[in-house]
Amino acid sequence: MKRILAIVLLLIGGAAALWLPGFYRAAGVGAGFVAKQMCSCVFVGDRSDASCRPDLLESMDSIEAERLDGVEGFRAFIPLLAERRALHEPPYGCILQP
Amino acid sequence: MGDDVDRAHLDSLLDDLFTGEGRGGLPDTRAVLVVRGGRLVLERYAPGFDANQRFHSWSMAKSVTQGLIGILVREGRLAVDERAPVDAWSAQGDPRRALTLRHLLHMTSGLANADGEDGAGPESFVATLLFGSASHDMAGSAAAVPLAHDPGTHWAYSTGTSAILGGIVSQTVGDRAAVRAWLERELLTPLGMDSLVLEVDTRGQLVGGSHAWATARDWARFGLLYLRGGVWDGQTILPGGWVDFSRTPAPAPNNTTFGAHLWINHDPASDQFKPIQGAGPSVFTMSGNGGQYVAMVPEKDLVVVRLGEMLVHDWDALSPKVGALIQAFPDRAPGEAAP
Repeated sequence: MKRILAIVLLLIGGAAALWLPGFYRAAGVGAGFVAKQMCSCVFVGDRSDASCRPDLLESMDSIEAERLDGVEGFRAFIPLLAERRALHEPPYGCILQP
Repeated sequence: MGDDVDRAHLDSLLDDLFTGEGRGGLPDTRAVLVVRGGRLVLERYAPGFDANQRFHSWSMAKSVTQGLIGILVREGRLAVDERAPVDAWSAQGDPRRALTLRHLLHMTSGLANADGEDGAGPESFVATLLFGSASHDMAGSAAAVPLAHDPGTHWAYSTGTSAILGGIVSQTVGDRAAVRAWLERELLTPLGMDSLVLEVDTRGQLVGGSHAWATARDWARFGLLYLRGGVWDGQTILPGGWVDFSRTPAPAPNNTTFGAHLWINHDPASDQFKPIQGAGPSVFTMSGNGGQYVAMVPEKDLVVVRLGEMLVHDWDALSPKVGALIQAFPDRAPGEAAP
C-alpha cells in the first residue's frame, strides 16, 4: 500500500513539476497583458478604467487590476501566482516593469 | 464631400459600420474618418469616443516602424540591402548574418519567431514578447532565435521581426529621448501628428510591432503621407520610391498581400487573407488586431480610417463594410477638385 501511495505521489509530483512552470509563466503573461493594456488604455488612450476593462479578453477576467498609488500606472495580479506592474512614462507610453 | 457622393447611401454604410457591440456594451467601431483629395470629409465617433483620444494601433504600429526605417534610409543612415545591424547575428558563420533590412521589412527573414506558429495562447512567442518575460528586451528576444527557413524563401507574419526593426531604429538613433526628439523633428512636426505615442520596452527600445497610439485624425495624416508618396506639403519625408516598395508584394511563394510592412489588397495566397473585401487591388493598408484599418486608395485619392475593437475577430464581417465605404466614393485623380 505504501508503495502504491509513493508511486501515486511521485506521479502527482512529476505532473506538477511539468505543469506548474508553464502555469506560472502563463499567469505572468496574463498579468503583464492586463497591467500593460489597462495602463496604456487609461493613461495613453485617455479612457476610464470602466471603459478599458471590457476591451480585454474574457479569459483575463480572473486577473485583477488596480491603479497604483501616487504614480500613473496599474498593477495586475492573480493572488499567490503572478503580479505585474506597468508605469506610465510620457511620452513613451506605459512600460511593463521587470 | 463632393456632389458625386450619395450622402444617404454613405450614412447607411456608416450606420452599418457602427452597429456592432462588444463586451460591456462598448461599440466595436469607435471612429471612422475619410480623407478625400487631402481634406477631411467625413468623421464619426461612437458615443464615449472623440477626436482627442488616442486609439491603439495594434499591428498598424508595424507600418509606423517601416516609415521610421524609411526616414533613416532617406537620411543615409540605413540601406535596405545592407546586412541588418543586429549584433547577435554578426559572428562569422552565423547564417543570420545574411539577413538584410529588406528581409525584415518583407517578413521573409526565415527567423523562427512567426506569430501563431506556436498557438495564440499566453505561452506563445508573441504573447511572451509583448507581455511576458521577453517584454523587457523585445528586439533582443526576437532576434535570439534560429532560422527556420532560408532567408527570402518563406513569408511569415512576425511581430518579433517588427520588434527587431524597432530595435534597429533605436540603436541607430540613440536612447529613447533621442528617438523621440528625432521622431518629432522628422515626422510628427512636419505632419502635425502630435498625438502619436510609440511605446517602448524596459530598455527604452521601440516595441515596433504594436502599441502605437494616436488620434484618428493623426492616423489619417499618416495614411495621407503614404497616399502622397511620402511627400508632405512639399517636404520629402520618405525616400523616393519608398511607398512603391512598401506596396509591392514581398517575393516569396506563399505571399501575395504583404509588402514592406504594409498590406496590399491582392487576392491572397493560401494562408493569407484579403485585407479589404470589395475594394480594388491598388488599395494598400495598415492593419491591426481588432479591425484597425488605415486604407489608402490611390484611384480615389482617398484615405479611410476605421478604429475600434472587434472582440469576436470577425474580419469577414468587418472587411466588406470597409470595402463598401471605399466603393461609395467615385474614382478621382489626386488633386482633382470636387464637382
